[in-house]
Amino acid sequence: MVKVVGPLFVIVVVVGIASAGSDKGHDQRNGPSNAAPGRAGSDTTSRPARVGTKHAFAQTGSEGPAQSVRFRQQSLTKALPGTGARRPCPREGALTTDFLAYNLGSHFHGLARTMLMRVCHGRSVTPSPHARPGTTAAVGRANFVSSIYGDCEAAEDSGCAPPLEVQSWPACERNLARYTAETLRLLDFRATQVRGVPAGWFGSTRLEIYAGRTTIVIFGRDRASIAAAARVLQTTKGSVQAGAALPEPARGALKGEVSC
Amino acid sequence: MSRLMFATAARDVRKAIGGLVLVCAFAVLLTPQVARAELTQFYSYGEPHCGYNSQSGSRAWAWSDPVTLIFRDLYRHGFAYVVDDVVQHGWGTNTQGGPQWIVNGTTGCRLMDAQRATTCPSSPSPPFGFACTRYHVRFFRITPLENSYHTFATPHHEDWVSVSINCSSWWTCRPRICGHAVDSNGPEGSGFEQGKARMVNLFSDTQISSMFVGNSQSVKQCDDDMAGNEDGIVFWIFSGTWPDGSPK
Repeated sequence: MVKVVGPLFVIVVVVGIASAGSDKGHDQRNGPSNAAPGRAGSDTTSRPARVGTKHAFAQTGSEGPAQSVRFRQQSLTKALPGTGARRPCPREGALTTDFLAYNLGSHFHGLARTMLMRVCHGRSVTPSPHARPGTTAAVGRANFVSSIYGDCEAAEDSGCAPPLEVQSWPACERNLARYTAETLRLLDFRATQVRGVPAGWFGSTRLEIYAGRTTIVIFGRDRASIAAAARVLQTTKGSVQAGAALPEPARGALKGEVSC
Repeated sequence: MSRLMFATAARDVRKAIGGLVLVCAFAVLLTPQVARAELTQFYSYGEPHCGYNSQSGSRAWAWSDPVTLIFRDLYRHGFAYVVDDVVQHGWGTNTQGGPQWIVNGTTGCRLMDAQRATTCPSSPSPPFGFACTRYHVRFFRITPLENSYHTFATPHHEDWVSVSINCSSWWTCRPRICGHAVDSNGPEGSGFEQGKARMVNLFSDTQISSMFVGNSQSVKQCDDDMAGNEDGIVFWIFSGTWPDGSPK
């Protein structure tokens, strides 16, 4: 009996880890039709982009100073080495995406949107973990649209995290499959559902939602504010409105099998 | 008969206890080497209590720098070796910079253990020898229960911004003492991306692996720029090894 307990326990542990990502099968059940909302809704964030400099900000018409939004755009048009499947970053100055970008509108629970950023680049100097010494190859890249809500006071030599940030990534570049089972356990991952689609808590300060061809990442200070934000997520052009069901994940998105 | 039944029952109990002990042993063995929860949100903190708020229980407001590197002292040379190894690989020798803290799952919030930075080109005498644009890294030893052979690091490239002009509108601007500010997210990657890449390139003679942890949240700097570990990747550097993992 004793000899059996060990392997049984290992199996239980493995199953436990696997169940943390049990929504991985969700996209298969949903079938191919699920790819449509995300793709069809490919969102072009057409708000005027301003390349930010230090201390630059954009006044937005009738909005007062507190509602001013700083538009940032950073991009590198060069595609990553070894990542031919990925689409190149948009030209500098554009906020375009080939995935739906989500936000919380101009205000959320008294917090004004203080910044809108388009971040897209791949540093070719980032080494591959398996590269021979001296050689480099990218292992990933940043590619997201970020809406930041509220402000904080940074000190010298120490930054501060704004109250809330919503990042939208293409599902082909950020998805559940990028985490190993061990990493999910380290990050205190808990699978859940948000507005009808699979999602996951990472501790109490990050929620990732897998919707259509987009992975929405909400960073916040506590679960309550993040959950409230998740309820009012909307797309810039209104194809998904606050409170409405989110598009089901594209087929294969949760497994990292969706193409860019 | 009843004596036989009693003996059988007692044997079953002993087996069950034995099984329980084995289960506990497995549980200990399978505990992650780096503790879970707050520690593994992979951020350092900018204030001595690690932002603990007894009402909300949240610490996230005090997040400062993303952890982007973990040194693993596989052959147990010790923490001093890890820091010296970084210096020997050409990172820099300057030890000046502000303090930061980290949440250690077993000991609560604790001060960083060391820091190293590149030396300013025409360095004035201390205490102003660090007032320049530079590469900088802080080390946080992650101790006992999380395994004494891990060191978290937050390498970054930072600008020297003596005074920042903080504007909430065109007509209300106020100057503020700033100091070092990590480069903002940009085409060349944020200062955190640049620091990570430099460190990893310096250790090209060492075994390295990576993992995606997704700690890509933007962190506001004192010059109002935003910077983060944009690609969400954390690298492991196995101190004291060759690329194939064998000891140096």
